[in-house]
Amino acid sequence: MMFNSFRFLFVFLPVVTVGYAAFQRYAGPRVAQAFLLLSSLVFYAVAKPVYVFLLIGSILFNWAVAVGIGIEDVDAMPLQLAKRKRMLQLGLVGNILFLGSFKYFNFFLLHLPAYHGIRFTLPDWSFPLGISFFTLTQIMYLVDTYQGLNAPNSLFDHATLVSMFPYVTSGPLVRSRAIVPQLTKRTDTNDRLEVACRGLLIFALGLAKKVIIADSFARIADAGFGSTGSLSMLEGWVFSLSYTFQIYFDFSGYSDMAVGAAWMLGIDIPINFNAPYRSKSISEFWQRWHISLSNFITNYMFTPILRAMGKATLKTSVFAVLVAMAIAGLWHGPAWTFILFGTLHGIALACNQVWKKKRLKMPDWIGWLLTFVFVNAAFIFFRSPNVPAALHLLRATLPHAALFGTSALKGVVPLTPLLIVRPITFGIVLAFFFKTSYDVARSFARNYLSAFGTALLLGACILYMNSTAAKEFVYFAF
Amino acid sequence: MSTRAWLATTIGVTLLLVVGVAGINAFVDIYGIFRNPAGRHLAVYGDERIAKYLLCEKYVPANFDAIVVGSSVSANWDMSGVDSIKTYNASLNGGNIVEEKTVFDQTLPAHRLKAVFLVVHPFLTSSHEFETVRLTPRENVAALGSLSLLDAYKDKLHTLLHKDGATDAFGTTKLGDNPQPMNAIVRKLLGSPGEFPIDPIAFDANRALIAEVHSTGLPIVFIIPPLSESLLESRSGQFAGYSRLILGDKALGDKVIDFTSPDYLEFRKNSANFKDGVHLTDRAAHEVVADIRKRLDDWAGDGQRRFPDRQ
Repeated sequence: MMFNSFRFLFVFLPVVTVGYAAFQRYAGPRVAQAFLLLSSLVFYAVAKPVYVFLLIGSILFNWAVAVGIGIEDVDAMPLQLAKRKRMLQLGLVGNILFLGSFKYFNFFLLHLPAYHGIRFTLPDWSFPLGISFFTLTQIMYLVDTYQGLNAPNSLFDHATLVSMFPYVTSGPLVRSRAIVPQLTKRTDTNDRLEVACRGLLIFALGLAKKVIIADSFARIADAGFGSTGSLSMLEGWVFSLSYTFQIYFDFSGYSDMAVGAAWMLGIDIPINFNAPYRSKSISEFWQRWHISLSNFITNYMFTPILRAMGKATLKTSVFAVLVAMAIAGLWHGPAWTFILFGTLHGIALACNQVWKKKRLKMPDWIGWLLTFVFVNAAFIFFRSPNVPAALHLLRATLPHAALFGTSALKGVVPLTPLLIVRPITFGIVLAFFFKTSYDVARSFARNYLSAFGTALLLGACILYMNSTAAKEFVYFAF
Repeated sequence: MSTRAWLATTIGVTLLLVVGVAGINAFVDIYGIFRNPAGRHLAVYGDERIAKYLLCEKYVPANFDAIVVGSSVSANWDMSGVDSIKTYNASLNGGNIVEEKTVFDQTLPAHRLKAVFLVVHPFLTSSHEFETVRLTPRENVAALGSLSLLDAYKDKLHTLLHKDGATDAFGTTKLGDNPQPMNAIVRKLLGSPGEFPIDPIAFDANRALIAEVHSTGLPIVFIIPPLSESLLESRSGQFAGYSRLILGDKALGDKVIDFTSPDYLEFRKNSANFKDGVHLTDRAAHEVVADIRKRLDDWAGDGQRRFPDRQ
């Protein structure tokens, strides 16, 4: 079920929000949690019911592994340590195999040399929705359990943690110790309503980002990245920038809706975006873009790689960031374009580390420009169907004979003011100059202006939603 | 303001907006789908495809006896000039037969039509893609409130203020009388060497449409539209071959009006009749419609033409 569908907006969300609040108040947190778990499984099953069994299987496996990792007998520590480490290794390998069998196995088989002209491939399974996210969430859970940062959850808590509908399909990645305690806490009705108000506001902002702004950029980006003809430099920039803005508004819109839906339930989940296109360096960008994934890369990939190399020097740090980012690129999907996307970011982050180490300086505006132009170029690889197509568009962004031609742009995009021009203008202003959704929700004041403003925004979103078929979120593909 | 009051106001105003907008649009009913449209005069506003798709659902079956299926070549044929059978012009500018069939299929459940005019032109079968919007039943929900409906209102307001509506209640689109260069798509189609390109999906849709009409017992009047003599001369073999191909599905009760026949040589030679060699001027389109009327009257007089009685 998509957040930008009428079924979610008018049926699922109101029923679950009111039901959860009612159960919390009249039957206690555990009954409310059971209702939330059941609702989340229904939410997940709507897209393709069979995949709910894979989700449940993954939950059961990780729960059992975490129980094995948990310390029970303090006196038998040395013995326990070896057992716990083996269990963690089993958990990590299990999760990687699970993810790999759906996402990567065929990719690797395709790159193996053919045996007597025969290639071995598995049936082309479409991978279960959110598999990358709920697998990483559980890897974090296992590592945290191993490190003693949290105790193993009960099956009930673990299932609720992993399957919770606001984030099960596209994140943000959550840590058990941040979520599970909230499930059992009985909150004051007034406090919950206060958070619900902010939740509704940030949900409306996220929905507007998706259906009004991101989908307008998508129309241009889809046309541009689907075009195979020669492009002018202007078109190269328009098409690539369209995707850069599309993915930001799409994913940050989704994240705002996830945070909003969770707040409506009275549950706090981490924010995922903080105006990333205002970053003045690539390392700052990754502190503002897909924050929960960046934290995962830092804590569960970069740091362990660095530790494994023994000594933290500039060289080992550069190597660790390159490897971590290439893996992060591959996490998005089995394609060289994603690996290149990750590797390019790894190289940029490595350069940034060297730059910082040498204490070099540059004016903020140059830093911002370099960062934004680099991010835009890297997204060309991210969006393109293959590397030659990416290089084709990348070349178009460089000065060449055709500078200002608009034939491809005119041919594929009817630039209607309401559908495209205004949302795009508004989107650019929003991305660079306006408060973030989180800031708006934080400074929110309950008055008629904000109530009518939110209602009008929701009304506009519904108008846009009713105008075209709902477009999937970009990150549903990962 | 308390949290409860804020939530109630926000949700209440949102619902009021949604219900209010949907209610007003259902009341205005610009496409004649929410109440009985018999006797109403509904012109095309906004996106032509969406409008004709929705108008064909109830408005056309309730008010017309026949329908013209064609592209921009026949879009400005004012069929109000045919008085023997009240005809709606469902031609779409730049439309192909897949789009046209989707629009035509809307009229079928009502079982009210008595005849179909099918314009035979290679443009109709040259592609099968939906040009602007994919026409689906969700357009009915969009008619309760959407950006395309907003465009339709803007279009209607403009028409009311300037009294220069582009399309009338018979589906006719005014193209004007001034000459203009041939558009790139038609130029490409007519400029292609050899036979005209035929998209297999579009061709299947064309055959399916003809079979559908025949299965309901309705006659088809195939109309081969005129084009400037110079263009026809240069591609006469291809045009004749194309017409033969389409007319291969003609049934016994069907009729053909061929404006590429020698009877219309003088008409075709007059370049003032054409905007670009293919599209007729509005004035010339009146002449063509007058001729269609005459042919229908002649057939009726000869006892050859009998449109089935409307049920």
